[in-house]
Amino acid sequence: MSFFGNKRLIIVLVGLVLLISVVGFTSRERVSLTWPEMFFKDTFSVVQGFFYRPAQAVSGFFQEIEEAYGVYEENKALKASLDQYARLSAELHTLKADNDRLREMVGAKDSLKSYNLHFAEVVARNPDTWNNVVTIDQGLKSGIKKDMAVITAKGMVGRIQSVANFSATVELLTSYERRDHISADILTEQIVDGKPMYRQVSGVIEEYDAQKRLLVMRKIPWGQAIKKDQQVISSGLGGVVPRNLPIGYIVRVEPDDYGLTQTAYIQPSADFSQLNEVMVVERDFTIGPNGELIPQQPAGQTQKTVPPAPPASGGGQ
Amino acid sequence: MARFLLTLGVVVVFVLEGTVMQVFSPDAWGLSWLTVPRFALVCCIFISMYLGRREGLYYGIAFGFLQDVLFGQLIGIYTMSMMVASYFAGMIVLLFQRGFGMVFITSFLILFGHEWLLYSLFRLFSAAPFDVRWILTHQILPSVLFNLAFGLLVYFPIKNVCNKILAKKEMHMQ
Repeated sequence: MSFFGNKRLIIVLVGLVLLISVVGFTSRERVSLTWPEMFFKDTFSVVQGFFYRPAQAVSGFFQEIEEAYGVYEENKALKASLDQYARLSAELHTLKADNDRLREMVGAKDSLKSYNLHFAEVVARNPDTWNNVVTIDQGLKSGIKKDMAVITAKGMVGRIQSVANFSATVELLTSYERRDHISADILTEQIVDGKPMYRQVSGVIEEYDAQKRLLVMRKIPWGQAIKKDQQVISSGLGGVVPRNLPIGYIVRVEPDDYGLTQTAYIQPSADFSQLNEVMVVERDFTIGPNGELIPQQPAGQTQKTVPPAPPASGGGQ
Repeated sequence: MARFLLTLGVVVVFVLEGTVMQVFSPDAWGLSWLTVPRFALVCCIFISMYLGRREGLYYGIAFGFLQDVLFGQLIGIYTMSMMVASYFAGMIVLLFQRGFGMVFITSFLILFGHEWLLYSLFRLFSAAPFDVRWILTHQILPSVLFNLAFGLLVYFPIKNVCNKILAKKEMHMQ
């Protein structure tokens, strides 16, 4: 009887049970947020925006001053690579024309690549590395949906973890507790029968190694010659991430624990230390459970913008 | 009025954690340590020490909950860890004299324990192995020292505001 008489103990126990059940309920991957969560996120995203933008502006100013000292050297290097760029872009155009012509011949649609971009500004970033997320100032009202890929001009940075009405939370690739795996391709150049061939070797980016600050890509087939500095792009096979988003560069490759596949370490091409503006990628087609393509826009409506080329398909050098 | 100021102050400090402090993070300057600012927690610990553990518990729950909701889907981890941390801070302080040195030694232990609790919780629920020694030297210890430095900054303001609140309470009692 004295047990029930002890009111404080009862409150503590009930509170503990409630807390644990809330943890259990929210630890699953949820489709959408509840309205109180949306309310909190929206309100605070506005307040955080007031602080984040000026702070980033000031830090950007100081960084620009720092960079101003290196402008001469940079200019020289850029001029040197400009000649190469002209040659490469001419080659790219002819290849594109070739590709379009051949695709037309076989009647293939270029649907894995086409996407729209939503521009968003970062308003806050979680200082904690366990769950490294940024909050952006676009949400459901501007067409952002869960699981969309998020990129900067240089490369992929993460995916949308949850959306509120006027803000969204982006889970970065550098988060220790990342829940998504990204299907990716390594662009390799291999010698087959004495001739150089371009091949794409697929694998899955599974985690982030905080110690070395590299992404870890696993399940790369054995026997593929993968070298340093080869580029890694998203493969477009995962369903929501379109093809051709640059992710990073290979740093080193080693056999996995069982010697059946290879593991590659990737230097991300995006700069995670300073995030100001990001782009949310909305795919024109999603892939259904049976592998069929479903257009995002209602049929009959013309596609508004098919981007001429994914930004920096050459990667951010 | 004093209580409103105190709460507003902690909210502002909480917002600074996620925004302005990004500019000062050693990561952005190319250093290998990671300092996680936990200013709201430091404030909660001081409040718990001066206003009592019950108050500390409430502040801990509120700001842990905010941290959970704003920066992640999983609700409950920070609510629990910050609640426990500030409650214990209030409890330890009952045993000793509340001097400057004692407050900081307690804060150090509590902050360290909090980071350690978080590490073990995430370790428990995740498949990826984390190197304990690396986490300890590169994330936990720098964060604790960084937060203690912040504690030095806000120690006297918080102490004054708390004393004002206590004085007011006593006036009401009489």
